[in-house]
Amino acid sequence: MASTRDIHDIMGMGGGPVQKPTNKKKKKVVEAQPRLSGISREVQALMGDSVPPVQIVEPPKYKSKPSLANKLYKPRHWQEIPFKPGARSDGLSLTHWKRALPSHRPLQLNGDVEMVDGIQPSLKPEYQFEEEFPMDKWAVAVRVPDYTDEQYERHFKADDWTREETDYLVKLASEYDLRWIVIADRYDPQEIQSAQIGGEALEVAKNYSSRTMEQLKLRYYQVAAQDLELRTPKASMNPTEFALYEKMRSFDAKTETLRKAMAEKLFERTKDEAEEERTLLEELHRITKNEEEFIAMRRDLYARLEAAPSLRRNERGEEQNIVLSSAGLSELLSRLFAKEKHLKRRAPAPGDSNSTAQQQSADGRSRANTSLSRRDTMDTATEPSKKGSVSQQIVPKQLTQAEEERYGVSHPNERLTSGVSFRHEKINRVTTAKSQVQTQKINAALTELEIPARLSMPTEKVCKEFERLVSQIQLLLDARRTLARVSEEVKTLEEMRRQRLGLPPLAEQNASGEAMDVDKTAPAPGQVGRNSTTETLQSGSLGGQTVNGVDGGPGPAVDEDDEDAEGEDDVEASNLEKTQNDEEDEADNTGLNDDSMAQRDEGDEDENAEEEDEEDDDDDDVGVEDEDEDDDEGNAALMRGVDNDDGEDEGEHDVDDDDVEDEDEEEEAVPLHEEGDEEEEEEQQRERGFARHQTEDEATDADNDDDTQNVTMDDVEPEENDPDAEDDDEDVADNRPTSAGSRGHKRGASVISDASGAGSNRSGAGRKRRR
Amino acid sequence: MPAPASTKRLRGVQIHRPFIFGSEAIPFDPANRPRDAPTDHTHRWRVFVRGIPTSNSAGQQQQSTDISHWLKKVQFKLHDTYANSVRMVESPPFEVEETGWGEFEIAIKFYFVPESGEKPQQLWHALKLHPYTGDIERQKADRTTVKSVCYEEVVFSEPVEPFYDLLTGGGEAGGQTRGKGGKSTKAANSGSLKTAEIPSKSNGANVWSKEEEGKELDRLAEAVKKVEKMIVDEKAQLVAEEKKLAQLEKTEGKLLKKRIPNNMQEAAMLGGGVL
Repeated sequence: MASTRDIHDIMGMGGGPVQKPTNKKKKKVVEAQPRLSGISREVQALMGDSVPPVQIVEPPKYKSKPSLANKLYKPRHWQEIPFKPGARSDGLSLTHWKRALPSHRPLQLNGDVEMVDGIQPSLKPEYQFEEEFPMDKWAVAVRVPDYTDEQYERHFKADDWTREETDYLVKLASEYDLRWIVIADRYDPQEIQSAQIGGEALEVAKNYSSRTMEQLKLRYYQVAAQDLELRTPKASMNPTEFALYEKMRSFDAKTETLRKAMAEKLFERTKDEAEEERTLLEELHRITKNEEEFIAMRRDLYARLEAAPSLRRNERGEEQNIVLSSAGLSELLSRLFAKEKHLKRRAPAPGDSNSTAQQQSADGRSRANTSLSRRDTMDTATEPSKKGSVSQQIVPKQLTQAEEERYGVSHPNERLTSGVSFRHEKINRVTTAKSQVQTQKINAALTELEIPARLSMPTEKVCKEFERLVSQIQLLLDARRTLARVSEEVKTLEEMRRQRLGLPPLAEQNASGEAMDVDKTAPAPGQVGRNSTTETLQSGSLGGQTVNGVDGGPGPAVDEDDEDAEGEDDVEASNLEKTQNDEEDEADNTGLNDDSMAQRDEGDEDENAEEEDEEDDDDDDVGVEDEDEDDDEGNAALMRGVDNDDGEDEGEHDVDDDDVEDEDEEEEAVPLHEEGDEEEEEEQQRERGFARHQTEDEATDADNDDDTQNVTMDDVEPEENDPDAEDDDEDVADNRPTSAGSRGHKRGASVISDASGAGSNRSGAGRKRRR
Repeated sequence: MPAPASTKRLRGVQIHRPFIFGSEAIPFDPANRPRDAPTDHTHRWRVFVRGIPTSNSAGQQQQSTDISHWLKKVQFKLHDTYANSVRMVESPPFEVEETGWGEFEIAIKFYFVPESGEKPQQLWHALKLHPYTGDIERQKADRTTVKSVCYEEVVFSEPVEPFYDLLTGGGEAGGQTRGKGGKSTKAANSGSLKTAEIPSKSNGANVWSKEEEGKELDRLAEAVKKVEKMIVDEKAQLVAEEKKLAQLEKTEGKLLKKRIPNNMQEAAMLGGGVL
């Protein structure tokens, strides 16, 4: 097969023709062939599948029509015969054609038509005919009531029917066989007179009114029923009689009239009216159907509303009361809302007892409402059982207090997230603050309080207590930060005042020199101590500086640890430093200048932070965020303390400023100004103060070259001193190792002190960076 | 065991169960070193998950509260260098015993009973082989058992109905555990074994008790008190500073808010960057 098709394909003949014939053949085989009769099977086989073009088989023969031509058929005899209809009493004679019954005599085969005609009369008596059909048996007369005068007077008398009328009616009824339509049609009061042949007929005619069909019927039925009853007493009536009797007795003319009127109306509707009626009916149907659905939905809703509170109640081990009415349902709904709200609020109130009381009162109310016998809903009947099953399903059992304790069941007030958790996970979450530094601080505080990182018994109570502790610690940290800010502000304002009280605002260099002197004379005790410790560590190179930074960091930290081993107390330390700074500044003209600048800067930088700073409470979210940033800054500062080549912009600024300050007060002012970070400035001032002391103490002279350089630079581009400062920084480091070293130390000390407490010093910078 | 027919969670309900997990390690006895241990191993240790040891146990076989009614199996994930480092323990006691030389973190995965409908949860435990507290040298010399055991509570928030049923003393699985308890001759107080309560007093066998909890609470309360005191101090200081500030503001006015416009700062930043 495939090969031929291939050939066809190759020769461009297409594969179609090959397949078609085979299909045909197959089809034919399948087809049931009409069985040809009259041909032998062998012949049929010879023909094969092809249908013969001509019908070779004769169709079956049927009986042929009788033909007169061959005389085989003799027609039957018909004769017109007179008869008397049985129903008639007047002896009327009619004729009709009748066919003769087939005779048993043999047919005369030799006789022709004429002959037959000719002999017909003679043959006549030989024919037999059927009996006359008894038509009269169908001519039944209606049995109408008949009555004598006496009977009429006794039984059939009616107020609105006269004897004459009644007679006439009965006559008509019998005449028209109770065909009421005809009767009503023919009923004619005039005829009554004619029927009543008498002299006074004309007078009476006036009295007879025409009657409607119903009136006629009613009257007739009354009479007929009465007649029937008279003939056969009710008790002995057979069923048909009794049914007829009942029917006639119960005929209601009014209903019948109404019915007919309505039928009439219905018949006489216009098409539009019919249409309208149809649509109205449809609408009605729709409404009724929807109502069913609506009711079902409502029932469903009620069931659901019921289920939830019942669950709640039973969980709490309260008695179960079934809300039966819609009033109760609405009560329930409001209660649910209240509960929802309660949960949202996360009220730490003793919720269990509280809500229990609430519920109970609510229950009481609902019960009262129920007893008001408000209209019950349709669902009342079904609800209780449904609800009962639901609650059973939901609450497996109710536990007593002791059992709850034993099985560790609790009903926390806060929102629960479904699922499993371990208690200690929560602890970890609590101690993990937003920033790493904050977390560290909290952990440090915990260590300080001798609370191990892992609670030994993280039970519910312990966890709660722990959470309280951590929140307290956070509060403390916040308080410290705020305090630091406020004290910064105080300091700045003090500087302002000093400035206002007549110190020349632009006596920088001289004043600075004086200030240095003064600073030297009045160092704070704590400072001295620290300086002395760090001085020993000073070395003469940049490397030394960084080393000092490293060394200096831990050094003071240790000192501080002595005083206040928790990182939290660092604020105090920083405060201490600040006060020291204040002292320095009091005697320091340049310091004043710087501060004034700083002040302005401060005002500028911390526009938004100002409010926070001024307020004692910084516990809002922003405060926290700031804190975090501050911490980061603090971190950066730490880094700086260790490594001066810190790549961070701000780090550079800080360091630069510090360095510049160390060198020259003039310069300080400008970079500070540029830096625009009040808090940093504060710090810088502090550090500057230290640097000054140290330079004085150790009699290391300021590098003149650098100074002048810086000064010129400052003069030229007073706004962009940072880079210069940066350069200077290194120069300073090279040239004045001692001061640098001391600065390094100072940095370290301040950083550590700042790390936790005074982190806020960096907030300005932090904010700047954010912008 | 019924299929998790109902997944309906019971709102506002929380059930917890205490348990302990941890490890104990003991150095090899140099005289009697186990032969099968690799040469570099120095300790025999065991990591486990258990119920709270019950106080009435004095003998060798420590009794503990039943945890198998909520815990189906436990998977211990050891260090990768162990053969079959993931050990699944299908039935109590949930523990793995091994030898080793180093400390590492073991991931303990808890598979809960099917009724709970909960996903497995993981905890980490740092295996401890060496003593870190107390007289270390002495302990080393004595080859005392180094224990690192943590108390923990598993919290089922809004459990599904069947599980709630089970945890509160009913259910078929409860019967099953009871049956098991009977096998291990613990039938006497099988009911109480399902409890979430912890013993009221510590004793030799058990250090996890209400007494201990109380101590911890005291400790925390003290710490809270300490912090509160510090807050009070801090507040006092703050008030003083504020007062000072208010006075200064009276004479000096409030700090100027806007003197240097923003572009100045930017210039400063830029300058810093350029030069």
